[in-house]
Amino acid sequence: MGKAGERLTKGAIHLLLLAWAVVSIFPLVWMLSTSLKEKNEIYTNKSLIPRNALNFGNYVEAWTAGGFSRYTWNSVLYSAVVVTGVVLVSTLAAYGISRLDMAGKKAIYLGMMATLMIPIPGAFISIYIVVSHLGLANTRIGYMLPMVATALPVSIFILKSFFDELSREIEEAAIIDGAASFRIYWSLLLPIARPAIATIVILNTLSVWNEFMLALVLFSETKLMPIQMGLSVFVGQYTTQYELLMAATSLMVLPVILVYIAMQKQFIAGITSGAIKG
Amino acid sequence: MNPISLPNAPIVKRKSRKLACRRYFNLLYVLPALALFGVFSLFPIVKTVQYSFTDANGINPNFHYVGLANYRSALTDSQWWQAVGNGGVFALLSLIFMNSIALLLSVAVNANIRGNQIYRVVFYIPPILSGIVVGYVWKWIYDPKGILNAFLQGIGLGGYTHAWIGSTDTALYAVAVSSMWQGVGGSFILFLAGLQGIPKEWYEAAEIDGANRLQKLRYITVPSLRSVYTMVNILTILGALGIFNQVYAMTMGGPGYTTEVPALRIYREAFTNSDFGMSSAFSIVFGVMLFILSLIQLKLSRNKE
Amino acid sequence: MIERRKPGWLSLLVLALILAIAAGCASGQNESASQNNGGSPSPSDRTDSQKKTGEKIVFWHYLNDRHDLLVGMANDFKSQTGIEVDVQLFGGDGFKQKIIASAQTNSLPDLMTYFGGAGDLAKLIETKSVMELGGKMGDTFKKFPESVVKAYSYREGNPFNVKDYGTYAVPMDTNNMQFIYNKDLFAQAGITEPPQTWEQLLQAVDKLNAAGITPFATGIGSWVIGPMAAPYEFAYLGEEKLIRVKEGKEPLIGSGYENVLKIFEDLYKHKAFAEGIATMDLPKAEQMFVNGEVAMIFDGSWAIGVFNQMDPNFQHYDVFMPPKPADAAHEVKITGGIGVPLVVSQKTKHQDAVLKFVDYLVAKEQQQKYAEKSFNLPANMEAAKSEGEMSSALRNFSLGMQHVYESAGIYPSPNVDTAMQKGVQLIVIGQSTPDKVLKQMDEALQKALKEKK
Repeated sequence: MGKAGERLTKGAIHLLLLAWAVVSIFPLVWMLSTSLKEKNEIYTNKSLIPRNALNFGNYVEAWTAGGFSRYTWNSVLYSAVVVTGVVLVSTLAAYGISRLDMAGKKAIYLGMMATLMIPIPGAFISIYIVVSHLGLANTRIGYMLPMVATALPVSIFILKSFFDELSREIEEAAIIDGAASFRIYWSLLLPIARPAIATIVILNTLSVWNEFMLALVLFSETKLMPIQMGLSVFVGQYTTQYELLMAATSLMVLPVILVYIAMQKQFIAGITSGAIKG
Repeated sequence: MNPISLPNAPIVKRKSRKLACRRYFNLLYVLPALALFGVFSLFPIVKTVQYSFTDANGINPNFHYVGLANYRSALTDSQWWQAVGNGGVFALLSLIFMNSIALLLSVAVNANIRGNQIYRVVFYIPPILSGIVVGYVWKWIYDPKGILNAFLQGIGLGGYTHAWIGSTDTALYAVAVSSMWQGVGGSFILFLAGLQGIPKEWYEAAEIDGANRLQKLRYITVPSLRSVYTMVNILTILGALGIFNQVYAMTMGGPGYTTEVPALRIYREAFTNSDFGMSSAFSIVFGVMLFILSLIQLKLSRNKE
Repeated sequence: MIERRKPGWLSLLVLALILAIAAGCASGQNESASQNNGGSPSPSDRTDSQKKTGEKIVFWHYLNDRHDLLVGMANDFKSQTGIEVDVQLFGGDGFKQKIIASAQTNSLPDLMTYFGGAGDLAKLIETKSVMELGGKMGDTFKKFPESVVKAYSYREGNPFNVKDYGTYAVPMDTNNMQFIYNKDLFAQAGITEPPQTWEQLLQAVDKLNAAGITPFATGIGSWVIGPMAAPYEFAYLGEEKLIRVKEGKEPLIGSGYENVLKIFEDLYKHKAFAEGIATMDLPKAEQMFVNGEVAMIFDGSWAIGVFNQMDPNFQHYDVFMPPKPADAAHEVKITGGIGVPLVVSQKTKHQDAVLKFVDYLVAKEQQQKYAEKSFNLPANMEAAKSEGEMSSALRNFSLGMQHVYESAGIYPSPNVDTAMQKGVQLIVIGQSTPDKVLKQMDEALQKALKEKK
């Protein structure tokens, strides 16, 4: 392939990326545009350009009407704790299942996978009953523990797939050194698996941030509710205040994008750790 | 060059008794997961299995056992199988189109192309948006007076305008497109994470040997992604067959049963009909089907190696 | 080759986890400390410690758009009586699941808005979770229209097999559903009067089409089909027969029910429907109506408020009852009843205080304020606006309350209703026929009857 051919493929790649970027970002643009429209404008002005492009009043109104100052803190806490919990528990389990000789590991793995498959009707109701028997009803910890538990199967599944691809030689060298399996996990595998862990962090942050139903069923005081509670306020029995809903949603999307960018840095850092396959 | 080495044989052979001890000691690694799983996930599953043999309504604790009646009526329900078929269409389309796009994008972004940092962020925006926003945007796109029809008219294809989600011939595909649009981002980051794990040295070595872009893709990238590919496929099948939010927001399964999907049926039986028995039977049938499907998928990918 | 770098960022994460769990536990303990320890953390238990200062009751509701109003009323109530009302908002589709979960663990709040029909409430009565109110609040119930009170009253022979007869819900507001038409568009098409008969309605549809105006839209894609079919179920079958047919005591096929489905086929054949009707929801139809894109809509009395919010300048509309077909033998009755029912927990420890607060919510002054905000008609008849204050549309909706049916009977399984809704969605786009849909409904009905035995 000549220089011209190389340039042509490069151009095609750029075109593809750009096209999908436009397709991906379009709803976000639409959302921002709606959030800048006036109350009656959303029904009459169907174009993407709001009549007054600097109308940030909806953001101020949405922030106070949705009570976001309280719910945001709750969600930050829930996300931090749940995601950390998921990462620790699922990397340990995936490491054990993927790399170690373990009694009954196939059964354990398949058992967890099975929960991924069954869409339990009213699962939240069952979880509520468990939580209230544990005396944890209407507490933060009573919400976060089941959140970690429900995130485990997918996370373990993803991590195991990544761990399976890593070369055996890594541990072999360490075992000859006499390192214990936990030290191998902690100082060898975790750093190498950074791209995979970053993926888990991204996926779980997103799901905790967007969670609403379990919280609604579990908490009996609104002050403990996560950030989605603020959004629900704009969906009335008969009408939805789209301009406020979209303003609030725009504000809510921001932290997730920031976490994503931060985690992407970890992806890239992962590459430098070098030869991990054999 | 086989980048995949499966953890089968014990690494260093020692005395067998010590090894046996080790096997149980190693269970400590899965203990936290098992504990959480046992407390919070097992009870709902056991409850679902129990309910599936009863006439429970979800509230009254005094229900009656009805044997296999729920299963019998679930397995003979033609609407249910239509819903499963629709889910199958979603799964097939997603496997073919969504994952191809995601793979293509991730390979392109990974090639250190200009602006790849921005693309990484932009491509993950659709999954970030909540179901209500996505449903609303796509309804607006598909509206008879929406932008899709306006666009078709604009480029002289006015004859193809359509009530996209309001007609039996297009509704299913219209919903599938919107769900695939949202799903690309998820597959994309999984593929990307897989790609990040491939050592740069391999590509460098291949370049020295004079391999071109396509050859590198064929001999390095694709084989190295095999287990990631299996995982993404399984997650895609689970996601597509379990689709709920988009359908709930856009069509509620209509017109008629055109876009009916299993999760919608399970939800309706439980919360509209208050028939937790029937709903549970459907979800067990569904779960068993997905489980078998996933096992087949895993077996197939093993055989390829 | 391998970097043996300590994973510094991970230790940070661990630290964050420990701190956050500590914070979470601490706040969790604070909250549970104020509860009675034990397995049933009823929200009302929490109030025990506050008995010294005065009573406190807990009120759960799902009315996102009315939270501030309810909190305001609770504050006024407290300053008058010293009873504190803890108003907690839990909006969204999950409210029903929340009630089910709480009922299963005996932790319902003292007072709640109820989400669901008489059949759903019957299940809470069966488990003795909610309180009979008719006997305790007899005077209060006199303020409401009779047909509305009966919606959640269970008498001998009720179809839900409730044995503890009585009335279990207090209405916060009422509503009903009728046709609404755009006066300007009707005039443009040369129609001078709202249709009185079904045949006139079809003529109006033809005239509108001739004038290039889309005649009709409503939420066919969501829940509106049932309420829109109901007037014609009454018109063609009559109340007695309708109930017997739905209970399976008389055959569905040959009952004349196909005429009810033909209503939708008529509209399709006369090209009455807006494009995309089969999956259209009500808000979309309302938006089209306000924008003058369709001339008629089938909607509830709340639509007046919805239109006002979408465009305060849009006033040229009025309301007409579902017009009766010439070949129908019985009177038309319309769908309507309680917008928001209030339900009291059987296990409340503050019965007097709760009932006092309910009484307060449905008193004239509060009802006037509430009706304004809820878009619905006040439940308390004393709170109705005087004739002079009402727009013609509002007056017609108010008058409509006299034609609301009490019971349209229920099928042994909701699957029959689903079969009808799904079938009608196909009829309105010409993909199915009344005969076919009736057959599908009958199949679902026979299956349900067989299972019941």
